[in-house]
Amino acid sequence: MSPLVSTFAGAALRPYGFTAGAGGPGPAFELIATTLISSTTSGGVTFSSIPATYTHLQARFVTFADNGYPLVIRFNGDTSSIYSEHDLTGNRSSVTSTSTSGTSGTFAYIFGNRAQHNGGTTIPAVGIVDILDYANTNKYKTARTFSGIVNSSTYEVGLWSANWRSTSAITSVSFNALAGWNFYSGTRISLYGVRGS
Amino acid sequence: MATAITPLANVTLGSSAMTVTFSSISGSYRDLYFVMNVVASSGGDSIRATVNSSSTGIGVEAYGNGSSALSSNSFGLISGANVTVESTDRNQLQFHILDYSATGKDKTSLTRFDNPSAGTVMTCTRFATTAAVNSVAFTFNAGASFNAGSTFALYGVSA
Repeated sequence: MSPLVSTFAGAALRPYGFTAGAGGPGPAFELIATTLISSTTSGGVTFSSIPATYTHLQARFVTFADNGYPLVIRFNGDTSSIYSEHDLTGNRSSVTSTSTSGTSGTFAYIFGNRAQHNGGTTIPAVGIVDILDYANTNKYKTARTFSGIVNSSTYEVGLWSANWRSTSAITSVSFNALAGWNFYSGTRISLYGVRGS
Repeated sequence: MATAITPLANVTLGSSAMTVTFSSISGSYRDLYFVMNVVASSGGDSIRATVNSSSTGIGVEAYGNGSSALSSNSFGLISGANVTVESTDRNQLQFHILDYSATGKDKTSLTRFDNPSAGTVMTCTRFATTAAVNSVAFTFNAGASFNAGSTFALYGVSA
């Protein structure tokens, strides 16, 4: 159902709802999988067996996790030290840019430099991750994230750049959970495929 | 497979409007994504989103204005409180409400706002309602109007 749209003055309203044309290569933006967590889950969330049929991937997350923890990403289950990350975050007081681990990171942060999760409350962290050219075997992989949280007394909005220095096609993406922490009920992480021409 | 993003509505203002409201939003999707290209009737104002007619949000912003990078309380303004919307240049906003149709959790949004003559902004805004969002209204904080020609597109993202 299309929403009703109104203004206090005249508007040219053009509701529509098309889908990809039949016979084409498929929708340009397609859901691959969604994980909805209904009970406390440790060890993170992994999307595996990702087909190489898209040009880019996008993940969208709404996460409840242990109080005081950030969120990190890994590719293909790789725990070797070939990740690096840079961020630009604000917390109502200042803007800060940091990098983590330089050339020795075993994961990349995508949320949680200035404020972290708030435990199993009703207040989530949210974010959108674009993983570009994930299936290309001639280049290292880069992901960009826009994420944030508005806690009761701590705040963050930020941009994150993650680099995984591998030319392997990405076939799995993990949202971890550093050792010992959990995702709580209400967490939702979705993975989408974005087609090229 | 079906597309995961569905255009729901597209508004081009034929004359100026104090408020643009998207109501009776279906709960069939997971996220809402608004793309806005707007001009204000007077400069120096900021855009607020009100969900379900009552929840105006609290938030944080980070912005660059050409000389400094700063962060402050956004006071729930999705365009932030410091880089304001112009009356001459086109202003661009991309506004996401994640898990808008879910219950039991506060609704949190992410916005990228660009004023080509004044700066670039990112905001995170939390609307303290655990109810599903079924309406979103956009207004200016200090009384400006959206000029004719301003555009608002709404998409539903499935999950």
